[in-house]
Amino acid sequence: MIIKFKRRGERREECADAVFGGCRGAYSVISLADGVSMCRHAAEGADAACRAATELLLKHGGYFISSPEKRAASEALSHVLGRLRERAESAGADVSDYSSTLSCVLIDRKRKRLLCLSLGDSVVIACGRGKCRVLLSPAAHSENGEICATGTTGAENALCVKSLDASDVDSVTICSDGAWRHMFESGRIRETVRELLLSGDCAGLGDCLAAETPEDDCSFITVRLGKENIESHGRKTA
Amino acid sequence: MNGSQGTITRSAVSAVDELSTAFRSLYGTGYVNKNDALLCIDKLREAGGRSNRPSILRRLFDILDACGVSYERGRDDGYYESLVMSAPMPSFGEIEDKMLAAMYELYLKYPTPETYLKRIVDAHDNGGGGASLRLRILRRAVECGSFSYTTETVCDGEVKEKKVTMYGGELYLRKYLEKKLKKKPKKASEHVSLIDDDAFDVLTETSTSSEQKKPGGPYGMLQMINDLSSGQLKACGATKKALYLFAMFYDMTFATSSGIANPKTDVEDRLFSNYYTYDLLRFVSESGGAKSEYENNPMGEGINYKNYAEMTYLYFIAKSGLTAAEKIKRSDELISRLPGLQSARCAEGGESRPSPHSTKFYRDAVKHTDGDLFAEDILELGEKEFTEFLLENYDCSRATKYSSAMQTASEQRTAYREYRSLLAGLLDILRSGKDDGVSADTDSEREISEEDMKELKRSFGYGLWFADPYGAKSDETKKRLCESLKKRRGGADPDEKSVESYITLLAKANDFLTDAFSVTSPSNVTRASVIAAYYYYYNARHENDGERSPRSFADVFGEYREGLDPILRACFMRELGAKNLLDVLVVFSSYAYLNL
Repeated sequence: MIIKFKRRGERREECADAVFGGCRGAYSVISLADGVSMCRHAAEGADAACRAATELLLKHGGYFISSPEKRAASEALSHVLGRLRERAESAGADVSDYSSTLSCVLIDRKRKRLLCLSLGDSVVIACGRGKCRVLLSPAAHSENGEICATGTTGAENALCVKSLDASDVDSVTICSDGAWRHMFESGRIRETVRELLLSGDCAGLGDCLAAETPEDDCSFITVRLGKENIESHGRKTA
Repeated sequence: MNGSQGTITRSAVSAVDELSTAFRSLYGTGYVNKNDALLCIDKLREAGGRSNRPSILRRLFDILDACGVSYERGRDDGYYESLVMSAPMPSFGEIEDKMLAAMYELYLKYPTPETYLKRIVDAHDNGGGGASLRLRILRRAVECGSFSYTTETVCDGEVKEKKVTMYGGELYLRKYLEKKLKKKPKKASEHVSLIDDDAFDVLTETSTSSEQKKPGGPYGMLQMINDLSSGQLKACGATKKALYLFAMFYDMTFATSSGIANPKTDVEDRLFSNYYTYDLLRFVSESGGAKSEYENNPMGEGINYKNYAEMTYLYFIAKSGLTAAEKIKRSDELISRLPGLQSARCAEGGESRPSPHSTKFYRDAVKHTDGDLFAEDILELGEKEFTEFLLENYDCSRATKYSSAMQTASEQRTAYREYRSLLAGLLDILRSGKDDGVSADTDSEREISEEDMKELKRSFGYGLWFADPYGAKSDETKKRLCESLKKRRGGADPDEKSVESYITLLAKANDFLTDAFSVTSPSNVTRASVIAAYYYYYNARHENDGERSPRSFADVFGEYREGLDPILRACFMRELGAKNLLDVLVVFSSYAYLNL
């Protein structure tokens, strides 16, 4: 089951976050992209990046899950960048106008494997055996400490990737910076958030985040392993 | 999503970018020189009408383009020869001058270790009202409370109280404040603003002995803070201990597996990656100069996950809800108790101390990089369970009576294996000209004898390309560099002191690189020694690539990353980065070595 949550920041004209998810055979994919606010087509870029990544990983799940991490990451990003370039060219714009972060998780239920990719400052959290673990952190993923996005030169070098055994994983959640800033306090996951994640109460987590007043867009997407149907949670999306 | 970038990082990276641009412009005016062009003419003659003629011509045209010399295509060899002979092309010496000057400009912009520390202190006290860095740290240390505590020990079945002094200085500071206040202070922490820089004068008084400046001595804390704030790194784990205490003074953080590292306060990033790195600028810092108790070649170690004392510090740094004073006291208490607890347990059960696990085991206990994702993170355990884990899995002894807890389990076996594998690669190139490549994570370890080491030193060990390239002593280098800089700056004289410091730095870096073949055990291998070994390996591997088009700096940096980063990762060491001046110097040296 895939649960999406997207909420527009109070001071934003439009939400520049995109969340996508899908299942195909033994494979499930969730993706989240957060448009770089200063870019002209941030929301469109985030949406296109998310779609392209989700479709690719779903279509070639077996290939990506069994490829070496670095190669899988580089090929996925190259595909996404190709799509963004096409879009930019047809609009007479530059690909950097479509910049966004991009995080994806590919799950192979049959082989019990997970592949996580992340470019930028989103957080990927796995839950299982009564614990939450941060799989990918919002570290500065580039040589010079700058947060990298799809339109950044050398983005492929800044892409973080992790492949792991998913036998004990109950759920995986990708959170945008607007969401995780309210889920963590002094670098530690808040106890209420931990409980909500562990109990799989995504509606509760959505309520919890909605009760805050984030200025930034606030989104997350969760996939629960073991269930294959996609369910869009009834949150109001902006 | 909003981008963020630290000012210090920005300045270091922009300095490297500028250097890259400067070197690119050198290419524009000819980092290829007349000799390269003449070499092409010779080859052209040799080739005659053979099939390799077009590629030699292409190389010649590249050189002429790079030097801005106009030419006609399709002419005979005589035309090209007279063109090269008469064209104004830069000499080798001119290019050397330009490269040295460009490196100097980079050096001026590089952050010192103190800059990194100051950034953390600034965030806490908002600039400290213009006080010196050491004074601000001292005031903060006094605010945090006492550096002595009373603990209970059992001696012959009797419980006795024992006073432990982690760092001496309380008594001295109380007396210092008494003079200022003209009465006895109740608490030193209430009068921190009265402490001034003069408090440190005692360290330089002739009557003060070195014993008094040791941690337990009456001026121990002052000395520790003075060293830390001026980037003087002490040997035998003393700097590491000071860094962990500094982290506790300033509420720094360490993320557990279920947390997110805050890059602004993360111990590993801000202290170990930035401050305690192999920073050459330490050699020319305010109070540089190596004495016996200081690190001669800074180790630049990262966190040692195999060491029980470091894990204890991290445990308390990561723990929420404790004041700085509580963290300092409780970590020191536990570190002191562990060796005794383990000895008693071993004696009771008739067992020996736990034999060490692999480095991966210890890292996974905290980082969960590859192991069981949901295994217990030891930093999230209760204090009792954490102590139990340390006793069961860590060697909590001290190597000798005099060694510090920070020195336990300090061998870096994987790094030593990678270092030797690079040396084996070098030997292969040296003896057979064959290079089968070196890759990280190989299990095979080749025996490298003392004779092999000597042979490597004889054949390589030429050091940094930039150090004293004129083959003369520093006076000549300084003179030529000053002239070059003057030209570059439109006639303005450079600061002689800075030029001297720069030359000292190059000489020190050079000393280190020439000494690259002296690591003989897993205890003294460092990130810098792995980089130095790779430097020679890379140069040896590529020095005969002359036929290929010249490499740009970006090419060399890229090739270094491709070849060296997997090795550094396998050693659990930081990857190559523009933030570290040694890394930049080494890559630029290779760049110069291959292109000039």
